Amino acid sequence: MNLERADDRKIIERVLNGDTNSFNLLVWQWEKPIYNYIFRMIGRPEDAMDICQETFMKAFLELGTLKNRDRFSPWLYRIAHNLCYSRFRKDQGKTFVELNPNVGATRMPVENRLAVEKALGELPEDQKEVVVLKVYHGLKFDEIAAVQGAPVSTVKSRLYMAFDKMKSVLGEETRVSGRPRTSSER
Amino acid sequence: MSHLEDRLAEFVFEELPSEELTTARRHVAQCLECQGRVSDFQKIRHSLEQLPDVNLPRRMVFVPESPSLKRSPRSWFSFAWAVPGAVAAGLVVAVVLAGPLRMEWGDQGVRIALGQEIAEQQAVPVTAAVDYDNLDYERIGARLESEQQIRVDAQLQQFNSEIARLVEANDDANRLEILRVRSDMASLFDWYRARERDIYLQGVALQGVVQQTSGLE
Repeated sequence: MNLERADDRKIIERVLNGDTNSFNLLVWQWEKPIYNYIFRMIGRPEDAMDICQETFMKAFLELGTLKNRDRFSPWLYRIAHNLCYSRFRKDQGKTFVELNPNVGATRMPVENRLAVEKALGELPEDQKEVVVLKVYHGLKFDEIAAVQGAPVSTVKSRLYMAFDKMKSVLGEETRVSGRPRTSSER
Repeated sequence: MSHLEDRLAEFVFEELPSEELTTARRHVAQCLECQGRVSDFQKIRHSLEQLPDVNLPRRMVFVPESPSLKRSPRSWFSFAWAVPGAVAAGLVVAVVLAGPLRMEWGDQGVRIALGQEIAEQQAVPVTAAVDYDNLDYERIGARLESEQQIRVDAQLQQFNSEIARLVEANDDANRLEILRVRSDMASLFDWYRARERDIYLQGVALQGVVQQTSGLE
């Protein structure tokens, strides 16, 4: 996936030249990917929506500080990343019950979907973030490194660790199909 | 060539430079160990890709600060407040002008009067005849719109001065709050306008049906 859409730079220039309504074009272009990234990190639809709004507000207020206008989306992901991590710190120790997320259509059987969601949800935040940005958002490793503020080698090891962990969790989940696992099988 | 090792992720996600990718493909075709690792990696990736995107609970509408806001002040008008506000203001004015408000409960429901005793209600013959042919929905729509405009103007002015006051106390926290409120108001306004349009279109459609069936009875 090519992260940079041709129009981002032009829209940013319009906004910075005073046509502030044009910022909506950036919002409409990026709200769904950014919301999905935040939702997959946070796991709660309403909180994800709040953080998504905050991300765009912050982006608008700080748009003038964006040095490379061709790198708008990694910068936007970076803002969302910072807000997610600040929410993680705030929520430390709390437990949440997830309420029916508004999921789009899928042909995946529900038990498989739940198993994958569970495996993803059990990853540490930094590993989960690499998986989400790589698999769902198609960011390149150097772009993920910029979002996480970490070296590319660290990003790659996080991905290996995440995939290894998912492999063992999913292998265990799908090993005994057709009946619930007994406690001795777990 | 040695095993893929730390180039596995770049291989699977096709981020290796093209020459290196060709060499790596050749190696994987011959190496069972690397084939196994690539296959495991692909399976996990494939499972993850099956998870669908989620939809936003609501769309965002960004309403920037003036001057564009000043050019279109209705964009952040909230209908939810306009009606109760207008009703309350109307009642206050009516009480001031006409005297105390009286209410009576009778067989036919509640009756309300201002400034005078409630007169005995006369029985009014009920008519079921409605002149559908001469209903002009366009005129009714225009009248409703102008009445509504009058009702909301006062409310709008109040919003304007409130926002202006907040903008004056201009720190980052306030700016974020103002933007959030404006965004909510704009969404609400869009929703209201869409409903208004739907109701009008339904009225027009109904009028069409009535006209088409008027000769059938």
